[in-house]
Amino acid sequence: MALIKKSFGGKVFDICNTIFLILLGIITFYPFWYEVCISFSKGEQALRGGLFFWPKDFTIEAYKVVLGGQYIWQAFRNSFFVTIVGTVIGVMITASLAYPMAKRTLPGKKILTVFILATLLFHGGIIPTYLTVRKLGLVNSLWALILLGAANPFNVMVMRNFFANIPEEIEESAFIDGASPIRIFTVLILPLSMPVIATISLWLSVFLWNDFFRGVMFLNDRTKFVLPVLLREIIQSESQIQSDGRMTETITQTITASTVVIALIPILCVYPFLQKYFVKGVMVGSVKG
Amino acid sequence: MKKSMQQIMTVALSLLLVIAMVGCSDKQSGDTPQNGEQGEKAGEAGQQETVTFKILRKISAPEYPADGGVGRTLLLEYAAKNGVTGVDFKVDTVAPNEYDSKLNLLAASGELPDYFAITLKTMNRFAEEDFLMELDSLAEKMPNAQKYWRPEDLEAAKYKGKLYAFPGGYRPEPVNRPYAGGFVVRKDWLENVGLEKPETLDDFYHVIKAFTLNDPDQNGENDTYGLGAQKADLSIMDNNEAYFGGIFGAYGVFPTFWHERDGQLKHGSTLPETKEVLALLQTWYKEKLIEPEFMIMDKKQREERMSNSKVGIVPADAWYLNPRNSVNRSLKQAVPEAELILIEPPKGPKGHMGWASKAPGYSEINAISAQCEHPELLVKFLDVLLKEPESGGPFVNAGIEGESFTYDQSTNTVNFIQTSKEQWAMGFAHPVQFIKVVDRRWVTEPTLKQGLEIANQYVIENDFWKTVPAMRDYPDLAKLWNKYFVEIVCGERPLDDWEEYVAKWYKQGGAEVEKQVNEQWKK
Repeated sequence: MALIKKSFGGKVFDICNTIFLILLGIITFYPFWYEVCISFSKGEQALRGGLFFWPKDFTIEAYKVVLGGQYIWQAFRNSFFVTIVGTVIGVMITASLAYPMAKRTLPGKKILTVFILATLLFHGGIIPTYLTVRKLGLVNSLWALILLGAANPFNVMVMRNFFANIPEEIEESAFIDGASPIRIFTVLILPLSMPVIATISLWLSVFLWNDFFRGVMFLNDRTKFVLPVLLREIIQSESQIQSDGRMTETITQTITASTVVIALIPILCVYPFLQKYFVKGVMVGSVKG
Repeated sequence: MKKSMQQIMTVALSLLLVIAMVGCSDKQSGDTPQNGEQGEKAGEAGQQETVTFKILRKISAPEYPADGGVGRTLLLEYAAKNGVTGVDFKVDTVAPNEYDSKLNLLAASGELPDYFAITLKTMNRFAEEDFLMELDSLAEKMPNAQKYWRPEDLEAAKYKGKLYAFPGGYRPEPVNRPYAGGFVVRKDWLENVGLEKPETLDDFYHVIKAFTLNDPDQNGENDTYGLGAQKADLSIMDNNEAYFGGIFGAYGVFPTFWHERDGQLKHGSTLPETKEVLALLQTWYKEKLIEPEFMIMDKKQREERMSNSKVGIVPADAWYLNPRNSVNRSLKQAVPEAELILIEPPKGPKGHMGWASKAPGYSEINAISAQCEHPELLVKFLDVLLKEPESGGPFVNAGIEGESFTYDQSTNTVNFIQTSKEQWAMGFAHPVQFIKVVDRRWVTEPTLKQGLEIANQYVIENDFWKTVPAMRDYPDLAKLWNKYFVEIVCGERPLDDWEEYVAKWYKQGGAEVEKQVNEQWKK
C-alpha cells in the first residue's frame, strides 16, 4: 500500500472517509455509552436527563440493586444453559437437515422443501404452540426455549444454500477415497462450512439470549426464569412501587440502564470469538481445472 | 476407516443419550415439585387434607421467594389461628405488561389457576365463556372484605348483574380514598412571582402566565412553561394527565365521561362546555403558556422536565409530593428550596370545580376460576387475611411488626423499616395482597397528606362506567377525539371544527354507542 503513491484527490477522499466513518462509529457507539454512563450515575442526576459523556456522581448503587437479587445468578445460569446448549443443538439439527437438502439426488426433496418453507410463511400461533409444548411436558422447563427454535427454517435455507455452493468434486474425491456420506459430512463438509456455522451460531445464540417472550409464556417458576424475564420484572417492579407511592429509594432510569448493560455484556463477548470464522476463502483453489 | 466410523457413531449416540437423559431429568424436576409438595403437605397434616391454591398475580416482584418464604408460613399460621386450616398457596407472578397474553394462553389451554388478577374487559369476555365462577353468594361470606369494599366497585365488577371478581378495598382513614391526582404546583415559584395559590380559573391563568414569562426560576432565561401535560392513553377514560383534568372540571365536564343532560346521557366531548374549554386551552397555547409538545410527552420526559424546573404546573399524582419520590429528590438536589404542592382544582365561571373520578375497580380485581374445586375454602382464606391483627398495624401489606415496620397506635401511623423489595423477599406486601386493601397509613408527611385529601374532595363524576358492545365495534372514537383535541388546542384547526368533530363522532358510530349507553343506563 505504502509503495503506491496516492494522488491528492485520493488523499482527500481518504481523510473525508476516515472522518465520516469515525463519526458514524461514534453515533452508533454513543447510545450504548450513554446507557453505561446512566447506569453508573446517581439516580437524581440520571432522572434529569441530558447529555452524558461520563457518569455524573459515580455510584454502583443500581448494580447493587440488580445483582443483589436472590434470583439473578440463577437467571444467569439458566440463560447461559439455554444459550449454549440451545446453540449447539440448534446448529447440529440445522446442519444435518440442510445437508441432505443440498443434494440434488435426495428423493422427495421438493416436498421436504415445501414443508420447511411452509413453516416460514405460516405460523401456528401462540396458543397451538403452547398446547404442543404442554403436551410435550415442556411447560416450565428450559427445554421449551431450546427445542422450539432448534430448526429455524430460515437458518436451514441459509445453510442449504451454502452447502450447495461447495463444489461437488470435493465430495467425489473423498468418496473415491472410500469415505462414507456421514464421514464426508463430519470430516469434510462441516470444517469447510465454518463461516456459515459461525453465522448461524451467532444468530441462534443472540436470539436465545434475548428470548423474552417465550420465557414469559412457558416458564412459571421463578427459579426457572431466564435473564430477560427477570430483568424485565426488576424494571417493572420499580415503576410499580412508584405508582403505588410506597418506599421509592431507587430510580427507574439507572436500574433500567444497568440491566441493559448486564444483559448486553455477555452476548457482546460472543462476537470477537466468532469473528475469525467469517473468512470465506478456505476453499479457494481446492478444485482445479 | 470402519473403526473411525464406529467411533463417530458411538460419540453421536452417546451424545443423544446424554441429551435425552438431561431432558428427562429436567422435565421431572420441573413437574414434580407441585405434586410432591402437595403430597407431602397432605401427609404432614395427617387426617385433614391440605388444599393448595394456585394463585396468579399481575405484578413484578423479582425478590418474592419461589416457595413463598417466611411470609407464607406466617400467613398460614395467621389463617390457622383465626380458624382457617388445611390451606396452602402457591403464588406465581407475571409482569403487568405481559400478564394479559399469558392469562389468555392459560385460559385457552384450560390451565387457569384457582385465583387470578383480571381486567374488567377480560372479565366480561371470560364470564361470557364460562371460565369464571359467580361470586355473589361467596362474597356475602366475607365479613372482613365487606368492610373495605365500596359498593360502586362491587357494582363495576359485575357482568349481566352477577359478580365475577373481587375488587380492591379501601381503609377508612382519609388518606386511603381512591383518588390521588391533581394539579402539582411549584410552591417556590409561586413565591418567586409573588402570587397566591390560584382559586379561580382566572387566577390560574395569571399564575401560568407568570410562570411562563416572569422567570419563576430566576435564572435570567425565558425557559419555563406554565402548564404541562402528558400523551393520552386512549385505553382509559379517566385521563386527567392528558386532558388537563382540572380545567375541564372547572366547566363541570370531562371529555371522555358520560354526563346526564335532560334525562339523557351525552358523551362529554360532544357537550358545549367542551368547546369552551377548547377555546380557553387554544388561547393559552397560542400565548405559549402550555408546553408545546404536551401531546407527545411520555412519563419519563415529563419527569425529566419536572426535575429540570422547566414546568410549573402539571396534572399528576400527589406522589410527587413525597420527599422520597425520585422526581422530588432529584428536583431538590438541583434546587434545594423547591417545593411541590397539590392545589385545589380551579373554580370555573359557573362555580364548577373538580377532577375526573377514577374508574371503579380500577386498582385491581381478581377472579376465581370456574374449575376451582374448593371455592368456599378459598374465599374463607382470602377473607381471613384481611382480618385486622390485634395490634392494629398492617400485616399482609407490610410484614412483621418491629422488623418490617413500626406502628404507632395513638396516631394510627405506620413507619416502614424495610423497603418494598425487602418485604417482598420475606414473602409479604404486593405479591400476597390477594384482595388489595389500600392502606396508606405510612403517609405522615404533611404536604403529601394534605395533597391526598384535596385530591379526594373535588371530583367530577362519570355517570356511566360500563362498556357496551358498540364501544367495542367502534374503537376509533377515542382516537378521533384525541386528534381533534390536540389539533384544536395547537391551533392547527379553528375552534369551530369542534362542530365538525361532533358531527363526525355521531356519524362514525357515536350515535349507536350513545343509544346503547342510554338503554343500559335506564335499566
